[in-house]
Amino acid sequence: MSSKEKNMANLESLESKSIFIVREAFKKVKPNQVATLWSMGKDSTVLLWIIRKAFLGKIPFPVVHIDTGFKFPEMYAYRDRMSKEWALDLKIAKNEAALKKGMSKAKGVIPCCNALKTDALRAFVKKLKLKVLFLAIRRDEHGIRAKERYFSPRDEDFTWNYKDQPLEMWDQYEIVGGKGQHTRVHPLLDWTEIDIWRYIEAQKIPVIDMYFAKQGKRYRSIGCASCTDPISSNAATVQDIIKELESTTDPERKGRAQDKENQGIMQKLRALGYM
Amino acid sequence: MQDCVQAEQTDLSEVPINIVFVGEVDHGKSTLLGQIAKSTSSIHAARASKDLAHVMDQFEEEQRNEMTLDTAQIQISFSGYRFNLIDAPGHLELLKNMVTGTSRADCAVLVIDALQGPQVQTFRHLGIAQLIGCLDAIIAINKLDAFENPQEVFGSICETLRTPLQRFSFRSVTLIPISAFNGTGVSASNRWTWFKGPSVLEMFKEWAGLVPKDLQSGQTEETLIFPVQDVYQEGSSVQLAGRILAGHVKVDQSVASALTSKRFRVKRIIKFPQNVQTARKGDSVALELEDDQAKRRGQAKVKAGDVLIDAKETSVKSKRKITAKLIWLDQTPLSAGDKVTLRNPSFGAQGKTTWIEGGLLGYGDIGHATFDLLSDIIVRDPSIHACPLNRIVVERNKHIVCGGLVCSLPKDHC
Repeated sequence: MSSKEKNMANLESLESKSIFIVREAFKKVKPNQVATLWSMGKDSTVLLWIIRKAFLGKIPFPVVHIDTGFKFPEMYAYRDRMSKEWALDLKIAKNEAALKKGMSKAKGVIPCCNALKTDALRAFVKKLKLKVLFLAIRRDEHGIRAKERYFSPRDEDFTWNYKDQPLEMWDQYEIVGGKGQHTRVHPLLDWTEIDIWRYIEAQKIPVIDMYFAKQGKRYRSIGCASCTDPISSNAATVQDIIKELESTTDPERKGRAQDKENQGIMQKLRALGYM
Repeated sequence: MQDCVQAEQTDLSEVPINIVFVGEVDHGKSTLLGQIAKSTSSIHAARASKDLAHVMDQFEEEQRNEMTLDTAQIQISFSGYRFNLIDAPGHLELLKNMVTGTSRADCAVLVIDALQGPQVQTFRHLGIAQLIGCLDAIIAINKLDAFENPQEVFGSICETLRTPLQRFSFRSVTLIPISAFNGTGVSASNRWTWFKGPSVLEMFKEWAGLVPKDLQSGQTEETLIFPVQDVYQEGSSVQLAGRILAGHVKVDQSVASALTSKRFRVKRIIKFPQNVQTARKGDSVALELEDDQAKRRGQAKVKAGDVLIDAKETSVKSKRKITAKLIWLDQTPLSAGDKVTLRNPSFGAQGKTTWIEGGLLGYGDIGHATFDLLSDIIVRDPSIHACPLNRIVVERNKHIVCGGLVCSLPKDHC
């Protein structure tokens, strides 16, 4: 096999498994009990692309943006453009009460993430009585995410019971059905950052412009404007980014404040229901 | 200082090989994995500078208590290949996490602490790895740096293992002396001169040459197995969604329902946004069928859980009596007469246990059991070929508590 054929074989294998997981989760519950999260970042955008493939061109459930109010203006513009193009059933989850009381990074990264992301999502899941929530997390993003299952049960209080995760083998997955419980489903768990970019390149998926370098800076991971820094880079195209990733040993989320404060922060955030 | 395996034109696009690290508690699985991740420059500097075991043990509790709680996975690449390294916990109570990790693996590395020698858990883990699909194994004899005469100790442990290893039937088993802590025996550049066999990473490279031929077997003569995952209806057309478990499918091919034996012609293969002429093992597609026998109009009636096979295939059938070799992971043992649900890539079916090897399967036991089911599940004749359709799980109280393989009845069954 040539390098290009192998490349396609790997991406096709990842794509097919992700489609399988998406279809499996969808068939286990009623259609109105499903939603997918979309942060406008590359991973959740690739997930939307894969969901459209799974259901032969449409997304038969809502696409949820957890809006902290602190996102970059480019993200809102991209969100509205793509929602229209892909005919998404876009829903906004926003913790208006916390924002009114002045919640922001100034009150601390953990309280802010918890209030504006986790609490906003918790209220949304409760309101729509969701049983399945798709998330685009990957194992290679963070050591804590490397511990996740494809189907991860959450209780009403949203906690991740990481000390007692279900047995998961051979494409057989469990959905939790108890009152207030939902299952986080992670179709992209096997993908690496470079797989995502190779796939974006191969499929020509329109991603947000912030990933491409301008004046020697680009965003490698995108979050709230207040908590996300660009990295030094001259990668101005998808191909440049792939080349850059082939040689870097810097972590992907280097520019993300919530990963930096201390070693255990991601575990704490995730145990409480953070994405 | 660092023993760096230089990437020679690493092709990051390769389909990765999945390797699980198993063995008794504290024998050095996470440390070996951390050492490999570090010596292949697969982790960033901050993560590499810590305790080697903490590369994988990222939970605070794991680091505090120096033990792995749950399985984790990291991708490394070297010499033009990619590998997913899967860490698994050694504690008996955490067996379900170990099985979760092992079920994703193609090959296994069994780690044995030379100071303690093989333990009960050592052979249980090896048995699980073999049962749930690992083809090849490395047995890494670890902590040999603690001895003045490592060669002698290695030789004597190999001798101890000779008889117990005869119970297993891996395609290959390779014994390697190592020190996970120092990296000795891990790569070719750091090794005991008295040992003439391969290092751990050299074995990985050899596996990489073998495994993809099995994984990427689109060109093989394997028979088609297409479990119908879900049925979508768009206007008047019906699409059967699913992932091809084995073989390949072509437009105009004559296929049959394994449940009803009814025949159909493949009219369309949809890989959205394209229609394709053929699709192969591993592909998620949607099929549109045409009724092959009757000329009457109307849609093919195939339900989710049915399996489409080549019309001439006779080894795939629906069954209500199943024998399987299982690894039991529920605290409550499996006894004859117990009500359970069996699931494989076709249907789920309720039923009860009719016979169990030794009368009972307790937590962590591997053994045979037979089941009588109230509805059909579709399996392939286990005497012909190892087939992913024959991978089953057992559910009790709505939780998966066991995995295993459909097999023929053992000879000593009574």
